[in-house]
Amino acid sequence: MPLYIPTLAEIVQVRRLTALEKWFKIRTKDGVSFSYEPGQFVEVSVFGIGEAPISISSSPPPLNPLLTKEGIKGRSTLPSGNGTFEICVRKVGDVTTALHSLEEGAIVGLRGPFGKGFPLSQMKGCDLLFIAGGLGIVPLRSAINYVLDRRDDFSNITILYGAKTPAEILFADELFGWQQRKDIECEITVDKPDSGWAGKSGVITRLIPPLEIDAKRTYALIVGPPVMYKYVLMELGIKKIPEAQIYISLERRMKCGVGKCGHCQINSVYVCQEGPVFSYRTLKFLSEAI
Amino acid sequence: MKPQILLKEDLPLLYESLKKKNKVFSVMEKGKGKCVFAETDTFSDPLDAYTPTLLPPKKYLLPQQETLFCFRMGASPSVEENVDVEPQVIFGVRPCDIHAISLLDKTFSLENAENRYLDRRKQTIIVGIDCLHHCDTYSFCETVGTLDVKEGFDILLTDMQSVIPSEAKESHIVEKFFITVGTKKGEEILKEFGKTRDASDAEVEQFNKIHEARKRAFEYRFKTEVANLPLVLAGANEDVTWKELEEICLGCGSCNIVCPTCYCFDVFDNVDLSLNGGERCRQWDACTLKDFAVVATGENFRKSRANRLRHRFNRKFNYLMTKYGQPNCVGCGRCSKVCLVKIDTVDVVNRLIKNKGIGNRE
Repeated sequence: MPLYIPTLAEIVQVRRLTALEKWFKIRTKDGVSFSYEPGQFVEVSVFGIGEAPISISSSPPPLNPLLTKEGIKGRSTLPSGNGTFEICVRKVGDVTTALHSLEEGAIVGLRGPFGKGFPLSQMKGCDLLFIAGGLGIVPLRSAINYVLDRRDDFSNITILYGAKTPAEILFADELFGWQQRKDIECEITVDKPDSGWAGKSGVITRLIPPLEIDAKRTYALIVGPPVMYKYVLMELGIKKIPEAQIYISLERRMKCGVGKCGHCQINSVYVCQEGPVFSYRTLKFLSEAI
Repeated sequence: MKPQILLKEDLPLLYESLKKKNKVFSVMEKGKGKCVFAETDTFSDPLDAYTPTLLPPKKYLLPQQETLFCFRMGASPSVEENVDVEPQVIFGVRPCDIHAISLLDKTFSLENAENRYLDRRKQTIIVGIDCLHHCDTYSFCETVGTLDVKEGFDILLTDMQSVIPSEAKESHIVEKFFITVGTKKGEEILKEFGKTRDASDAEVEQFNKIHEARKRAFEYRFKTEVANLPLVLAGANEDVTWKELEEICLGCGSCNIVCPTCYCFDVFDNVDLSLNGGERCRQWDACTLKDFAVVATGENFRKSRANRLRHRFNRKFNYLMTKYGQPNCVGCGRCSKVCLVKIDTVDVVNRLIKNKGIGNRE
């Protein structure tokens, strides 16, 4: 297989989420199959502008159709499968700006999925604590919906989400939907509340101390800006969650996605190959990781 | 195939013979004391151009810039892979550079094999030239174990008169090359050429003597065994050497660009003037450049020059060394030679060894 040649894919749906972020549903062309795990990423090309690594935000559908039916309860979107998936893109560089200008029906290039996602199957039967800061909800949403589609496989589920302002909350309807559910806990906080905000305010780390956590049987899944990790990890340390049960997704500039170009390397580790999701036990020994 | 003997006067003929079916690149002088690999019309004896070339022969396997694929833009885009592989010979490759190519072979064949590189590699004939003298003050091939080369070439020429002229004078002087045949392809080249003969037992013995004798011209330059380097580097993250280098390193990327084992690259699109299409290109990149580890949001994960340099040294003597079981540095010394502020690789490594307190060699 040529490593660097993208296949073609169509943008089948576009939705603006905030001033800076847009959501895209993408379908591979000509029935090319596309299967992925929560936490993986793709390389998306806008021809003439370039290529960028982007997290997958949807979750793969359960294999059992009955489970799908169950899982649809409380979800604003259906699981994306068989050649379709969703991404959420912040307009921040050349490629992402170009993506924002594309409309439904536009053709992009696609490579991947790449990397290792969250090892959700090994977390079965355990408590899950999801912590998402800002854009971190994008890849984490994939894992959250995956788990919610298979709710009975997991024990207590807690979702913490922090955004800078109420206007910057991503997937707001889904998040508020999760808050309504009785079978999970979902807390949302904003750093700078506005007059219309009735929810919690303050940094996301403040949501952790009040939680009752059974450390031994809890897995924490964290995605957020680099600055968030240090403080969240300190709080989780106080809660005594074992380092091997803390999973973090790292942002790096993967230019090739196949462990060659060197841009995503942290020490000896190619994030595009061994990550982007790592256990804290692994990351702890990598200087420059967090 | 048995080792062969080629008369020196027939070397240009071998060159011409290879040119019939291949593009041939060989070493030529460019400016005073500087050599380059280039496509040459006529044969120029690579032995006369002894110092390592400005850029390594890597450029014929992993070009400075190349087109990965072409695309059409607009409402219905399309992509077409760009294949530009043709048979080529790199003539006069030194053992260090042969080792470097073998390391690149590993990089591009293990884990996500890259056909682009491998196809080009398959179409490449490597004619090696053995080193009998220490080429310049910067090189340290013997130190990293790359003076001897057993594979990675199709044929390897060893000058039979270079080291022991006294002995040569005693016998009747016939200037000749001893040819070690490394591959089936090498064997075929020589059969087709037809002007070599089997080396006699005496010649094999003479070759062995030359090889043994040349070691005296090379010295081991690290203050500890090479095998200890991953340990030295792993424990040197906070070493004061990096802070000292931060003060002088310019972060110019020259050391990366001349390195025969560096393979990191950047990827970008070039658009045709017509705006209807273009090409996706890749280009050599350098991990010591400021923006190498920057992500879209502006975060730079290796902001300081010291950290970037530390990363580079770790790639050479720790990360990739641990992975492949040998340093990812072949001791050509190009990095030290080209460095504008005279950062010397051997010196840096020895400072780390000294600070770690394990220097057990003089």
